[in-house]
Order: sequence, then structure tokens, then C-alpha cells
Amino acid sequence: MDASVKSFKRKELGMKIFRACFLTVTVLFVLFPLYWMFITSLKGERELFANVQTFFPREITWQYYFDPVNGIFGANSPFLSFFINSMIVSFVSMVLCLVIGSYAAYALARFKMKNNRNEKLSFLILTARMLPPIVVVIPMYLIMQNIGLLNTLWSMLIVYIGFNLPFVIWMLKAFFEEIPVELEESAMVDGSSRMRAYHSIILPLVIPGFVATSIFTVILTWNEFLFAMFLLNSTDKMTLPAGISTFITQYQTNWGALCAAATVSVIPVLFFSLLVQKHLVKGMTLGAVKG
Amino acid sequence: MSNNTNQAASDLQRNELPAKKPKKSKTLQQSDKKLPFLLLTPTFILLAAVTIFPILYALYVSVMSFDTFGNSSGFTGLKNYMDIFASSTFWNAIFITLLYTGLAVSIEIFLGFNLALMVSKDGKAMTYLRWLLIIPMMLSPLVVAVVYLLMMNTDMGILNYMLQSIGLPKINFLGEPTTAFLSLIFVDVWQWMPMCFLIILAGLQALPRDPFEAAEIDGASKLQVVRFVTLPMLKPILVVALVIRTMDALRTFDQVFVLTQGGPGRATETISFLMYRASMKNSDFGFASAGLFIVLIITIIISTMLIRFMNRSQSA
Repeated sequence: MDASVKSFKRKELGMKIFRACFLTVTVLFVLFPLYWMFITSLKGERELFANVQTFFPREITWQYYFDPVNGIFGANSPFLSFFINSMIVSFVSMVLCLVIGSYAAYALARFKMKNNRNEKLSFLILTARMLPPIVVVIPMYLIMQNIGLLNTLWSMLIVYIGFNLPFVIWMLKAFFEEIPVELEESAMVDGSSRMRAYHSIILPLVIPGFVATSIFTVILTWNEFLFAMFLLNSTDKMTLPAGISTFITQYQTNWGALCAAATVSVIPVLFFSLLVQKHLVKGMTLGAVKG
Repeated sequence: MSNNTNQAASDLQRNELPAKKPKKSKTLQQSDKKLPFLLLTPTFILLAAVTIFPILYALYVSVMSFDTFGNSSGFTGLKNYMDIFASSTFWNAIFITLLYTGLAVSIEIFLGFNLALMVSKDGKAMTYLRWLLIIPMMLSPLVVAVVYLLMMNTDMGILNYMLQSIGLPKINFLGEPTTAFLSLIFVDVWQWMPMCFLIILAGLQALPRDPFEAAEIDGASKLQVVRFVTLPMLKPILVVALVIRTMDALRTFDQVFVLTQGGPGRATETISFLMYRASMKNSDFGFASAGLFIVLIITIIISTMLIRFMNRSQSA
């Protein structure tokens, strides 16, 4: 009896150690590329191309960041304009998306329409998200060329607002549905209009939902490459992913600068993604599962 | 599940509102008739502008021919569609895309499921672990591809350096057809396995405890519990992960653009990349637009099948 309990305990301990090892390996596997990206941006030219690779840079240099000639923040580098373009596009499209999407989400979450039309409309909106972007981007390129918006941030705004709307609507709809209907009803019974009830009672309650949704929208836009690559072709208009892709040239890639640019572009995303951790499942599955 | 809450919410509204104050609610309901459509109008205008309008435009372009400079040079009828159907590059791209999606998604779900099983029990450690594991899926696929381009470099890449230091031969990760294809899948798995893990973990934690306790009392082994209790109950969640990942993997572009440019040969040319090459590099907009419709039809078929599958497994 005693022996079997002991062996059972030993088995449990073995399992625990195995799991700990497995998880450590997984975490290292996940984090290593990021670590490598960062330290490559700190290595000098000689160390980067040395025969013996170093896992900890022997000499740390910030030249790829701050050098006035070679650095990504230097005067010659277009990096800062990529960064600013990305900020403008993500922020403006996020705000407009949230304004337009919140009304639609509210309408879909709250109003009873004939023949279950809510469900059908919601699904219709979701199908826009399932559309492969490549199907839209080629005609979009031709349209933008015809109306003279090619290579402007306006074209990016239109595309990103349109393409993020389904996501915003589904996300906000889920947040609206968590709020009891009685709140609006009592306000309306007291004589306030539907829209007034929405603005003064419902909106303040879903602010956390708005924050989470806006962060997701910013991340989506920040990371988007296909549309940016098609619709922007001059360096001063490019967003970060499109800009970074121009750093890779066939014969001579400046790895130090490339990794520095990648590192800086990743920092805001890392910061933001920590803030929305709690809503991650909801955001990633578009309300298909409740997280 | 969101259907149910929505249903419940609207039931509440329908049943209770008239019961409370019939007079008021009548005017409310009348104003309710126009308001939702008013609120939805801007959304539908914008969605039409970025989806329906471009698709119609592509329909127009697909029956036109283009010269090498990308200028339209007249009506050609169905010639572009004939070209597409006869084009072996097109069918190759379809095949590559489907194979890529199938392999990548099944590996991601398998690994994600096992990882989720492994950590589903401890609560405290999980918050930190999840914090670390979500990172890849938040990054731009383009940046991820750039980092792997560096790491997979044949001469100075760290992966080959590590292989050599344990006495293995170098691998030309992106230079051989098969290894290039598998390398792309590897990058995809690195980035998106965490997402499958996250969805499945959320599903696992929402499962009721009783069936597990019952199985334990009946003396089922751990493997049997997974096979006969966890998997059947988790099926709806697994299908959700499958649907979401499949939709995304079918449109893979960024990684191909950075890592292989569709090469070597056409070994990694996904459908998105082929369309890019046809339109932006060869200026053959007619061909590309005709191809888009075939892609659109294939996507619709796959997503309809997946959604049917999802609805069935959720109602079962």
C-alpha cells in the first residue's frame, strides 16, 4: 500500500517535470525568433557576418537605431515616415470604424427585425470578412488609379475602414448583448428617445468593449501588408509593413537596419496586445465562441 | 452561442416591452422600424464600396484584354477565362494553396490541442504562459517572415549554424522546392499554432467537470478520457479553430512574398501570390481578374462547407 502510493507520487512528479520541460521548450521556441531579431539589431557588422554566431552580442551597438547616417531614426532613413503613416492610418481608420460600426452593432444587437433579419444581416456583414483580400485588391488598384487616389493615404483609409468594419461590428455586438435591455427600457419609459438612451446609458457601459475593439482594430491595420503593397508605391506614403518589405533587396540586405526597423515596429503591438489579453479569444474568433 | 443570447435579448424586448406600457411601446416600435436601417446604412455603403463594387469592376475587367503596359485594349469576351482554365500555373497554385492550408492547419490544431491539454489544469501559471504564447499571433506576418528570412539564410542563418554545431549537414531552407514549402509551413505553424492553442484552451476551460469525474471513477485511463470524453465535447470548438484558420491560410501571401517569391520554380506559389504576379508584374489585369472569380467561387464553396460543418457540430 505504502509502496504503491510512493510510486504513484514519483510518477506524478515525473509527469510534472516532463511538463515543465516541454513548456519551457515551447516558450523558448516561441520567443527565440523575437530575441534573435532584437539582438541582430544590436550587433556590429563584423559580428553579424562572423563564422561563429553569438547568442549574446559581444559588443552592443545602437548604430542601426540612432546613427545619423545609417540608423533608422537618422535623417536619410524613411523609417520615421513609415511609422508616422502607419500611426495616422491606424488611428484615423480605427476612430471612423468605431463610430460607424457602433451604430450598426447596436442596431443588430437590439432591434427585432422581421423574419430573423438580424441574423441574416450579421452573417452578410461577416461574409465581407471572409472574402480573400486578393480578390478585392486588384480591382481596387485599378479603381484607385482611375479616381486618382492611388498612392495616397486616403485609399488606405477607405480600404481599412471597410475591411475592419465586420470585425468591429461583431466584436461590439457581443459587448452590447452583454448589457441588459432593461436599462434602455427604463430610460425610454421615462421619456428619453432611443438614441438618447443609447448615448447616455449604453455607451458609457461598453467603454471597455470599445477600448478592446479599438486596440484590435489598430493591430489589424498596423500589421496589414497586402493592400499597402498594392496601393502605395512611393516611399514617403508607405506604412510600416510595406516600407519594411522594401528594405529587403535582392543582393544586399542591411540586416542590422532591417531588424532594428522590425523591432521598433513590433513594440507598439506587443504593448497593445497585453492590454487586450482578456478579450483575445472573443476578438480572434469574431464571436463564434464566447471566451 | 451568440445566436442564443441575441435571441434571448430580442425575446425579452418583444415580450416585456408591450406588457409594461403598451401605449408608449407602440410609438417606440414604430420608430424602431426605420431606425435600425438608418443606423446600418453607412456600414452597408462602405462595405459595398470595398467589396461589391470592386468585384463588379473585376467582372468588367475580366472580359477586357490588356497590353503589356497594363492599358486596356478592348473587349475579348471569355478569352481570359479560357486562358485561366488552360493555365497549368493556375491549377498548380490552387494545388499548392490547398496542400499548404491542409497541412499547416492540421499541424496547428494538433499541436494546439496537445499544448492546451497540458496546461489546462494550472490556473496561475497559465496567465503568464498565455501572455508569452499570444505574442506570435499578434505580430505582422510580414515581420515574422523577415525574421525567418534572416534565420533561414543558408550561409549566415542561425538555424543552419545550430544544425552544424550539432554535427548535422546544412539545409538549404528556402532554395529547394520541398524544403521551401515545408519552411513556409513551419513559419505558419510558429505564428498560428498559438491561436489554435488559445481557442482550444478557452474551450477546454468552459467544459463541465462532471463527465471527467465520472470517467475517473469508472477507471478510464488518461488516453481514454481524452479520446472518449474530451474530444467529443470539444468538437464544436475544434471546428471553430479549423474554420478560422482555414480561411486565413487560404489567403497566405506575406510569407511567400518575403521568403520565397513563389519559388524555387513554382513550388510555393500560392494563389494570392500568383494573382499578384499576374497583375503587378505582368500587368495582365484581364487574366488576374478572371482568376479572381475562380478563387472567389472556390472560397465560397470551401467556406460554405465549413460553415455547414460548424453549424452541424454546434447543434449536435
